[in-house]
Amino acid sequence: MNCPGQIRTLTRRAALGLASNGFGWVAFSSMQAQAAGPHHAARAKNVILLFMPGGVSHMESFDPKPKLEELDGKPARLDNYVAGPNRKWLRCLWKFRRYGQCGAPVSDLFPHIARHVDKLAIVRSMKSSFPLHARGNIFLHTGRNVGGYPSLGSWITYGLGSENRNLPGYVLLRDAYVPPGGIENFSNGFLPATHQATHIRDEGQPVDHIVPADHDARVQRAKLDALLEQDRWFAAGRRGGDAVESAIANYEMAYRMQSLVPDVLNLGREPAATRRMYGLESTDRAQAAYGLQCLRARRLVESGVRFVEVTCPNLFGQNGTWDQHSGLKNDHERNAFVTDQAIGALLTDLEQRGMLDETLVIWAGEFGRTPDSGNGDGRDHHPFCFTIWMAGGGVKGGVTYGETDELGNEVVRDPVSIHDFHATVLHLLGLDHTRLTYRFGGREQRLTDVHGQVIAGIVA
Amino acid sequence: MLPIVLAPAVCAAAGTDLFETRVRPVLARSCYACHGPEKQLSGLRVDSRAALVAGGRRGPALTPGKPEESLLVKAVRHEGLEMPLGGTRLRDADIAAIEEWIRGGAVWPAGNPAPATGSVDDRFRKLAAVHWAFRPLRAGSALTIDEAIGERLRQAGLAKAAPAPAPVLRRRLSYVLTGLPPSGEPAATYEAEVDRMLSSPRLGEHWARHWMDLMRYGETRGYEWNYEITGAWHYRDYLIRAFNADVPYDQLVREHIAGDLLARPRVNHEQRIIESPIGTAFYRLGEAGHDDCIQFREIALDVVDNQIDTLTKAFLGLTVSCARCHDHKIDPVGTVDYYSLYSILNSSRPATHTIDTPEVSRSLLERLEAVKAEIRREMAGLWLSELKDLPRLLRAQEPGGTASGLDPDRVRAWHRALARKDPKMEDPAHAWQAMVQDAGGAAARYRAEAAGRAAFNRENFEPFPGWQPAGLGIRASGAGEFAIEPFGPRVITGVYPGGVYTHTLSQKLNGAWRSPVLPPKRRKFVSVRAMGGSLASRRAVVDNCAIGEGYRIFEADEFSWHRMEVRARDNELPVYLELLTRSDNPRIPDRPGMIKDLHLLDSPRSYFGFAGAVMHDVAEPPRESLTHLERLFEAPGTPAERFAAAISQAVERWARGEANDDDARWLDWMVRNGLLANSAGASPRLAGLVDRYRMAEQQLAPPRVVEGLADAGPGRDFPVLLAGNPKAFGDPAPRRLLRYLFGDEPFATTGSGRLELANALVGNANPLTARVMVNRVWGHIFGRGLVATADNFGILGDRPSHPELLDALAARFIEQGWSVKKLIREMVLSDAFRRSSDPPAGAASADPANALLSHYPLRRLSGEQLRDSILAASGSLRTEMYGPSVDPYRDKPQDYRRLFSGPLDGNGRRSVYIKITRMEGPRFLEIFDYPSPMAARGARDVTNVPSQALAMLNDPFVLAEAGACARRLVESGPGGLRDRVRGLFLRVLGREPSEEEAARFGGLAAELASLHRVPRDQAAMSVEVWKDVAHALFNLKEFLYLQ
Repeated sequence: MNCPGQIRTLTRRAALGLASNGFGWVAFSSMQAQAAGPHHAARAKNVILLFMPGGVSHMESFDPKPKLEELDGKPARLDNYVAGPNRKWLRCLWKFRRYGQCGAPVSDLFPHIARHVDKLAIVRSMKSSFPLHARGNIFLHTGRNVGGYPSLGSWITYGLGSENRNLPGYVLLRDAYVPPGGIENFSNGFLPATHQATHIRDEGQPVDHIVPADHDARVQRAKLDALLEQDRWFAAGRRGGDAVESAIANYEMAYRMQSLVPDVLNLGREPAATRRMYGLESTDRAQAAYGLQCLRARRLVESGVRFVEVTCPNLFGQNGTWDQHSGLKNDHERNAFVTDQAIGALLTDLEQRGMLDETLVIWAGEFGRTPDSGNGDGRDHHPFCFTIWMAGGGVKGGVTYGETDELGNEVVRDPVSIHDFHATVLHLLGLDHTRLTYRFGGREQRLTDVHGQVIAGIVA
Repeated sequence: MLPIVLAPAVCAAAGTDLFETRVRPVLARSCYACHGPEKQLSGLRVDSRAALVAGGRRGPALTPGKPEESLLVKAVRHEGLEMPLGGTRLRDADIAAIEEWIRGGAVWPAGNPAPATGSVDDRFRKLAAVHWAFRPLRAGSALTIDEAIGERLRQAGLAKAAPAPAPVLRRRLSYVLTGLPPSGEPAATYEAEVDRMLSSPRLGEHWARHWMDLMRYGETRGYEWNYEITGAWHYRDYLIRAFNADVPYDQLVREHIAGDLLARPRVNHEQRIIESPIGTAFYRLGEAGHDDCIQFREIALDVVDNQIDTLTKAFLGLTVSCARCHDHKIDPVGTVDYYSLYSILNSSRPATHTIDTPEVSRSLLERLEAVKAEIRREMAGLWLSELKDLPRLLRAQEPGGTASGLDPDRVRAWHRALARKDPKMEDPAHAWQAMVQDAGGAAARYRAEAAGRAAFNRENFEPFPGWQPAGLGIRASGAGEFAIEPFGPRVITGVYPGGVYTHTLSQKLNGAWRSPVLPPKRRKFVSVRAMGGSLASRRAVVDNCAIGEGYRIFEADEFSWHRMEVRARDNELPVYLELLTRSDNPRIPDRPGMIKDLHLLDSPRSYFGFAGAVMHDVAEPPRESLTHLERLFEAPGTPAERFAAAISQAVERWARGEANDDDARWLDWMVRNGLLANSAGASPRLAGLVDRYRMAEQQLAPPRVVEGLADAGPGRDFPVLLAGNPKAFGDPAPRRLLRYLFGDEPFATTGSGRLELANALVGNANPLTARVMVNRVWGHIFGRGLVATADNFGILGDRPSHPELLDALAARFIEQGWSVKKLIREMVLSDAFRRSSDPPAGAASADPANALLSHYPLRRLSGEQLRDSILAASGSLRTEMYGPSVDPYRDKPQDYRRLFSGPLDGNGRRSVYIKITRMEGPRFLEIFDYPSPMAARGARDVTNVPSQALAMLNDPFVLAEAGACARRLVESGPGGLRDRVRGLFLRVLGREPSEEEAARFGGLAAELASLHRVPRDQAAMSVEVWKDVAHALFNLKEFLYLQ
């Protein structure tokens, strides 16, 4: 486990598994707990969710609307919540080109992602229910519009268990930014706390408390040894003290995690070419930070972390990275610059390592943006249609699914709800969304509540 | 436990929107009365798809997919049959919707049954009669805890554990009662120890925290901008005081539900706080969005939903919020019941309660009033004396006038005032200029204009009376009122018309001035004549959305009409208007960038004045009246003579206390233009008076305020929202408590019904309130409730392990005046509480959950207990009580989300005083299962995960406190390693070490000394060494666990 970068995937997992001595990140007391799934053969083992909070403009990313060129600047007449007298249509601010064999159009915002279109299933017909960030985010993550429910990642680790008991099943790679809706977005809700997201930050201590406070490892070991001895005496005096036994075991596990987790996150041994590809050498701090998180995402998945979510740097103090009610030209461009290269690199890297087949990569935000503007080159929240894409892990490549009207205002073919999206993700992981249940509050709870249909059109 | 919240988006599944929004409401409104659950005229029911297809005596009423063949369509189209009978024909749009719905297959969503049908009703009534929790308390039982526990153990053939050793028991008692390790010498007897701890102020801090879990206590609103909840910490302090004072629980419940409405509110004379209204803060502690509740009605509905959820879980142990969209599937709670509670809560308003008793400021305010009266007299004298030169000063302003012999400053001031460019017609300068040009013409023009304006105002505006005050500053004043400037050379701010003001004594006094709910037939606009400063604001509140976007800050100190658009039309949503000082506006401090004058956020001052409100449809607000200028044209004379007369009249009348609004306008104009003496230096006496006034005003503390609910005007029965859809209105839901459990009779009230709700909750007819509370107290003392599902006493909740005991305790609880302390006392004096935590033989397998309490359950300390214990062990714990919370420590604060960082040790304050920021909570506490404050939580999860070990090993707080502990240990005096170990054991574990332990940790110290390169003989004095040993002790399971 000292040279993880040189160990091939399987060996590496085995090495980490051995080091664990049979104890994992999960609580000692819940180790006997059985995973709820899988229900059928899985197409994907792991998920990387690239969360794009704030609302990326769909008509300026993957869903071109030439009609808006004609209408640009003319008074807009939309019948939705933003409707007002002073609104104008706004043309797409970037050119689209066709890419790959499938010839899917991608705007100039995302040249790196564009090179992978043949791997992507682009869903243009997403629909959410809330034109508000907090609710939209919570809905995207939990399938509900209020806090208190488990996030997608928690459901998946609950359904499948962890591949590597030394590492958490659900990791959130984040910066200091807290998206609307709060930490609740990544909550395990009513599921056991072992399914909560472990936060890994881009700066400072990556994981809370993972860096030993004792600079001299021998000091910590000395303390732990005395502690263990004393605790054994304490536990021995108590019959049925399972909780105490578990707590004692947790200390040994915590001790090992102090080296295992930084080891997984240590990019020192990644080849220079890989580091460059992800943009780690970039002089742009945000771009380098996002590249770091994307590369960490790959390494975590490689080490067996089930679900990795990557948040997006929020550069403008807005209510979400992509929340450009004005200044869209400048800020979308900046956000794309910061994220595009690393995402492209992640797809390349996963493919080169043969991991893409089993890793589902998702690029999604809570909603899209309006085809009209109330404020210069700005667009407002648009839950009525928006675009996400998925790649790898059993998803058809080179597919564009669903269709919106000529304005990018409404879905006209194959609408996909957030519940459908969730059902599909679970399906690809071998989980039946109607059977992945947890009894709470007097009934069997589901991620998809009473809704959801697998989007057959994008499943390979 | 978390709520099952079926929110609108979830309820109104795609494809059923048409039915829920356009069809079901029409059927419910127009058809159910004759073809519904009550009556089935012609044998037909139309409240389910099956019933429609089955039809009545005339045959099937519905053929899905074929509107033209459906009798329902023919009937509403009046083709051969005319329905609704005797009523007006449905609107074409409604008919079209029904046709479209049938054409689309007549989707009638499953799982959204029609309003309670006969069978549901029967089932619910039956359940209400038989379910154990709803049955009356078995009264008069003398059953003791130990009898009940002993009996069940005997039945199960289980032995009882031995009594716990005294030190173990003392530690247990101390944590259970006060949340802290024991301190000081033990009392002579266990009973004395119990009584001592029961009277410790630490008890209130600990039990308040239990209660705060239940109230999903947070101090910020989360959502997107994490706004502050004004004065939330006052509610925390209120709880601490209440538990310490053993306020009867029924009183506490009354105060939570309707503390603002009690005839005799509870007053804390020592702290000069009106306690009762603070209880209503609980309503406001939940998450809340800032958005526009017209477009996004769910925002308002979700806030009330969370209130209903918290209220019913906390006080009744029932999950009522399931019934937002459909009748409860299992418990006897119908959708109407949900909306009955909604009607009650939405008939109240979010408000900010001022909790100071009058004594807090009485003497200062009396002094201010007295000095102000003297200032007024002095100013009147000065002003009267200034009238002498007035005719000459004015003549000097006339063309060709001469200023010789006059004070040049006053001449210049008059010039500035009268020569102003393009004055408005109501400005006396305009009249002056017009008269100088052509006196006769001016009079005619003014008369015509005055008549025109009066007519315009008469024809287009409807008065909007009935506004109500709140806050300490609000006073109604007659014309001629004025306010004293708190600083600077000017004495008064201006002379006001008759109206309502918050700052006639001090700008520090707060106030809110609220309109009634707008009448059903709405005009497009409401305009208020008002002024204000220092972040005072005006706004329309739609559907009680307390932190909506649309407030406006008063930018001007002078009166003008402010128009507000009424965006919610036709009584769909309740709307009222309010004027607020800064502390009463729950949006302030707003998110970054919204308030430009940041220094105002630090100012304790804020004020407004109000002089009338009108409703109108024309876009223009009322025109300024010209009545004050009429007097210029009543008598002949030069402009100077007319002005002098008009002004003299105003000053003289003001001096006599007889000023009217027109006089006030003249005086205000004069003062603002520097035409009347208004500087403290105008006379030595005035200077002295102003000094005295300002010194008193400086001493005034801003009133203490906390958010809560308040009532205003008549209550209203809001309609049931069909399937939870915010735009699909059903029948009005009468204000009452769950009808299957507490009767059908609506509350006899013209108000919101909160007071009646409070009484119903603690009334004799309700066995739940006492049972639920007794069970909560039991749970906190014994680790789990007699009913393990503390927040669910419904059909799906657990049955009580000892039902007779629960009832006996609940009955005694009521008999003993709902005393929580007596209840706690009875429990901790039981043998069951005093048993060892070592299970007797066989117990672990026969009763793994220890429901029968053969032994006391071993428990990990809560996050708060743990943090507090570390502070206690290190010696850093401060016993200071109350006050604003301390921000939790964060390594990455985010100011724009109001996620600030506080000191690492939280200033040594107990955890109950650490600020609960909803968007991202205190990390250390969360690791140890501090619950996310989203919903009522009567019992915490207890997890056992490695991240807890990591936190204890590496958290900077733990390390820093280990260091503090070591410093105090080493500074306590000389000693050897063994003395140090002994000292540490006493500090951390509260006991002596055994020989073996002394050797073990002495050995550790020696090893650490060598690792730290501390010479052996200096080890005992090395903070570095003892910090590590203390750190190890902090991690002992004996420290982390409660036996």
